[in-house]
Amino acid sequence: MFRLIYRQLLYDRYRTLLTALAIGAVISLMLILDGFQQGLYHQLRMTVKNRGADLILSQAGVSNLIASRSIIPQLTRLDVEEIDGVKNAYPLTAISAIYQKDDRKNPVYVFVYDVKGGPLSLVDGNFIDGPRGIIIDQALAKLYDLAPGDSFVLTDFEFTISGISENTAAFFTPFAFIKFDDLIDFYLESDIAADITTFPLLSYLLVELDDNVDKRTVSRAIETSIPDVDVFLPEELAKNDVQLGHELFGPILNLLVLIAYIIGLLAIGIIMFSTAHERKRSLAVVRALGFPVSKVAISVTIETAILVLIAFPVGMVIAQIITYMITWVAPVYLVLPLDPSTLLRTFSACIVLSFLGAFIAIYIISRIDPEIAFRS
Amino acid sequence: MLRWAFKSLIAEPLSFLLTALVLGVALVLVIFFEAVFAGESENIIAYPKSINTDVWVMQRGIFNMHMATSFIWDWKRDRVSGIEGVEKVTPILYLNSIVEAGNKRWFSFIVGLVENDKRAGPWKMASGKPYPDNGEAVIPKILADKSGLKLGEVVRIANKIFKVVGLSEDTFSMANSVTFITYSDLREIMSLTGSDSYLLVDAVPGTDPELLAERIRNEVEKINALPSNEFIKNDREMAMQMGVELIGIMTIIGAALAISLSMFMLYVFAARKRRDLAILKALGVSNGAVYLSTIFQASCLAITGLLIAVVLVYAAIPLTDSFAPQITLQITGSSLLRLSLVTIVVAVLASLIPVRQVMKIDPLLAFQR
Repeated sequence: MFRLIYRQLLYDRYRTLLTALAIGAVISLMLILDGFQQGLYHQLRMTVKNRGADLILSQAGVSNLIASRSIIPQLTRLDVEEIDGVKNAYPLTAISAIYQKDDRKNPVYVFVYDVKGGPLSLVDGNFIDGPRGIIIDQALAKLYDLAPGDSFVLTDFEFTISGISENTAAFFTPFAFIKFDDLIDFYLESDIAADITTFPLLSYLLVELDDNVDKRTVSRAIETSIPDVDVFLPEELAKNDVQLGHELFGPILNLLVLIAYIIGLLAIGIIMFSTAHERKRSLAVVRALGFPVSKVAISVTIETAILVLIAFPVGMVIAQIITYMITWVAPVYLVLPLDPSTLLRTFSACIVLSFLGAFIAIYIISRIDPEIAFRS
Repeated sequence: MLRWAFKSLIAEPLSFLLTALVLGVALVLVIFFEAVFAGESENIIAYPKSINTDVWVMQRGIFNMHMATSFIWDWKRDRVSGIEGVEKVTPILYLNSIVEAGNKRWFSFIVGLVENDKRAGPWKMASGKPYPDNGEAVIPKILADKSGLKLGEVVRIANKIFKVVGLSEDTFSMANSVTFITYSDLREIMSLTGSDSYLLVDAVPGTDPELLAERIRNEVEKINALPSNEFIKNDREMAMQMGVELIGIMTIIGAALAISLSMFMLYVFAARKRRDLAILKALGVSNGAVYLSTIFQASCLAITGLLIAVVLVYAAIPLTDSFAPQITLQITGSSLLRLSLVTIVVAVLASLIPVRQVMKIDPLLAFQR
């Protein structure tokens, strides 16, 4: 039986190749949509983790980093640094703004940092070392053709681009990073509100702990002595942000993944249908030789599974190529098609789909009259 | 020749329809994705669109609402009120933040409404009262349904708890639904003094909003004033721009999928019709005509797939409304036009390999048993 399947696959190599390509394209679609979802959550997780803190403090009642407005009283920093086990507390402020150039507008999430909390690595330029410096995510640089040294006007305030960062985007929004000295100038120069305290001066505190202290003990100590803040381990805050991502985009992304699975089922089904339909005569010969329907059905099912197994790496390659394209065109998106969880989920789905797809072929086989093998 | 091509294609209607169905579903993904973005972009502008004021006044350098932060001195409100052509000025506070109910969270445009002023509040209610008092909130009905919230239960914004007193309609968006609380509550949350976020300016009847916006920009320093239609256009454009690359990428993926599936089906089809094609060639039909017939068959498949895709998406709209009300689908003409062009590309590319196969068919095959 295996020899028959083997010969069948090799009989028309071009056809086998096209079949693998067609199924591979469907698999790549599943991998990309699932990988897109995983990428979205990964970006949210890393936005918190890349801030490089042992503990993160937010305004009491605020339990997210991304897209939340948190305002902490400025003197909190000193109070936190007084607590045993705390080595340093670094300020971090987050502002959402809109960047506009040449009639194109883009939301930008601006992180204002002092020492910690800035970008981890740059793809071009340098970290901020002078006034009015700004580091922008490579997605913005690509979109607007910006490079270090270029001007970057945000809400009528002119910055100069110091560097271009990578992996600094989440929720379809690129980040920018500025220093605290420039934030004050930014607010004062804009001269728009009665009181500078109107603006968020301190959103979060990134706490660095002494060596060998228990994070939870210090966390409890901070929450007890400073009721204005909530204290989070980075992984807790990251989990909250990922949860938010699930709630906001889960329904639509799950629906898209479901559509991809339906496409997969239909595609594999139609491929097996046409395969069985085309080989009616040879299958009738096999039946006429005395093979029962069940044996032929098993053979077709195995053949389908083998085709899917051949197509899976093809799908992985196509998905990776498309991912490179996506990252090249729009680096604000992160797609993780080869993430182990994505691969495992898609592979399991493919196995199920191949069995379901084989049913169509089995249905045709069960209706084949062995007599047609003897017709001219 | 084309008649033969068409007849032989539909000679196996089940095979033809199933193939077209697969292509249709691949194209559905593209239409669906763009329809979600278009629907969401309309939802995002629901507030400025429904409030229907003449001119929006905001911080200098700001030109929209979605994901923006705007502050203007409150004394500028009086300056704007005194400008010729201005009938009424309504200040609002606005915060883009997260609302929590139990373990559910969602982004929201939080709008702070001046007490006893009914200009800027919800425009359609499902139940409850439209204008909150201090400590109260009006939230979208869809969110209440989704979170299992009922009137009288509570939501949290930052560290403040609000009792839900009203459920509004047409205020939901996946990215930014609209929550209404009082001006003083939002001012407290934002730790704000002496500033408004936006001013809604109603013009004296007969005043041109564009001229009025220009007058306001000229007479009040460091603010921006835009006529409502431009303000709404900016919001819509920004929302759509955020999805432009994604829509493009999904179009390419959907098209690539459609191409590979069509290619496979046409290859199988050509393999099955080898003898017929050999007879045609033996009868003197040129290679060109045979190629043309293959492209024609690919086009028939692709167009039928497109039609199926459109029907499926239109059928999905009421289903989505019922089962996933948080998703709004809007099909645009430009989306369909682009997809039609993609369909032509799919048809031509999908026929490339089958054409190669047809070219290699030996007319002698027609005379073999």
